[in-house]
Amino acid sequence: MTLPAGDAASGKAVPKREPLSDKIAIDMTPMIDVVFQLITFFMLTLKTVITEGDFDIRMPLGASAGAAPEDAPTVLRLAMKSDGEGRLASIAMNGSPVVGQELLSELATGSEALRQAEAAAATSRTDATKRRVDAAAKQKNAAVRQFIDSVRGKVNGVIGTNTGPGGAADNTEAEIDADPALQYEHVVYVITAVSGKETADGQTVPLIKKIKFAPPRKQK
Amino acid sequence: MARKHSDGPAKTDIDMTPMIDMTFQLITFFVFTLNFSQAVQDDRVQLPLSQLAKPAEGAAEDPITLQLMNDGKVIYTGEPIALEDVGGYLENEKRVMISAGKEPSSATVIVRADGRSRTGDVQQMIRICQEKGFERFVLRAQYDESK
Repeated sequence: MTLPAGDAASGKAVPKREPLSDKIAIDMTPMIDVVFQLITFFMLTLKTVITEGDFDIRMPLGASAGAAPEDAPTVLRLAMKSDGEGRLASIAMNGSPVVGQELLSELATGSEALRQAEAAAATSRTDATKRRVDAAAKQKNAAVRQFIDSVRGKVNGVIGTNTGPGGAADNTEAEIDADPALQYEHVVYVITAVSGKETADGQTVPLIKKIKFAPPRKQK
Repeated sequence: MARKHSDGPAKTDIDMTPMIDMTFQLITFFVFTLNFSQAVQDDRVQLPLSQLAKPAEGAAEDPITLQLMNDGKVIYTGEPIALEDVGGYLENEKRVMISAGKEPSSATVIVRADGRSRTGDVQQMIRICQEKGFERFVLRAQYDESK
């Protein structure tokens, strides 16, 4: 409260003025409450989404086996055989083998090593089992990349490297004829190989855009 | 000289600035990582990896997600069902679409199949969809980030 100034002439004592403080205390409690509630809300609604992508496949109703559509006169038939355990035993493009047995066995060994490592890691979560899973995943990944590169190389050998509009890739359709018992991941590897290639800077160079499955065979 | 004792408890000023800075940074982080997408992902399905599996620019039209597990069962609307029963559920989807004035052929069936599942099961699932009039399919894979 401001007191009236003293008057020396009236003889009244001049009250001493209280020093003014520059600091204004703001009550932070409500803001901190709200901020923490916001953090709690965001933490509880946080969901980690794994990056996923799609491959378009042409599955028109009533399409007969081997019938090429009018806009894709060239058909690449990729026949994939299984060894009965779901592993890839052979892959042929228009009747000729695409990759050698050595690479196929590397792929099978990598998959089996990863499966065993994951089974071991499921029972005991130690650093050693984690390292084993990482090493097996790396081994499988290397084999898969080699396999994809080999298949892509063969495809490029047939349709050429002209991937631009109106090129051979535009007029080609890939038909995948896989054994029913084959593990589905092998089909995705082949679809990856024929669909395109990822460049070093992360761009995708498309190859064959028309991909379809051959009509399913009877399952044993 | 005797020290003067204060009347009440000593008031300690805590500097709140670092804490408020940190909490606001946390809020900013969570706001930027907030994902509103209705992506259907299920831990029971381990998608095959692919370097070319990058997110599509546009959302699929009338998406129907079918997830095939390793054991041949299909997850539909969160519940595992037998592969043979998918047709019945798709019949319902078809009815709903027709009542909304849409054709089943305009819907996109998103196939999220486990990498270890049988290719025959995937093909059978697609065949069942085709029999119900669905024609557009996409195969979903997980983006392989390893270089």
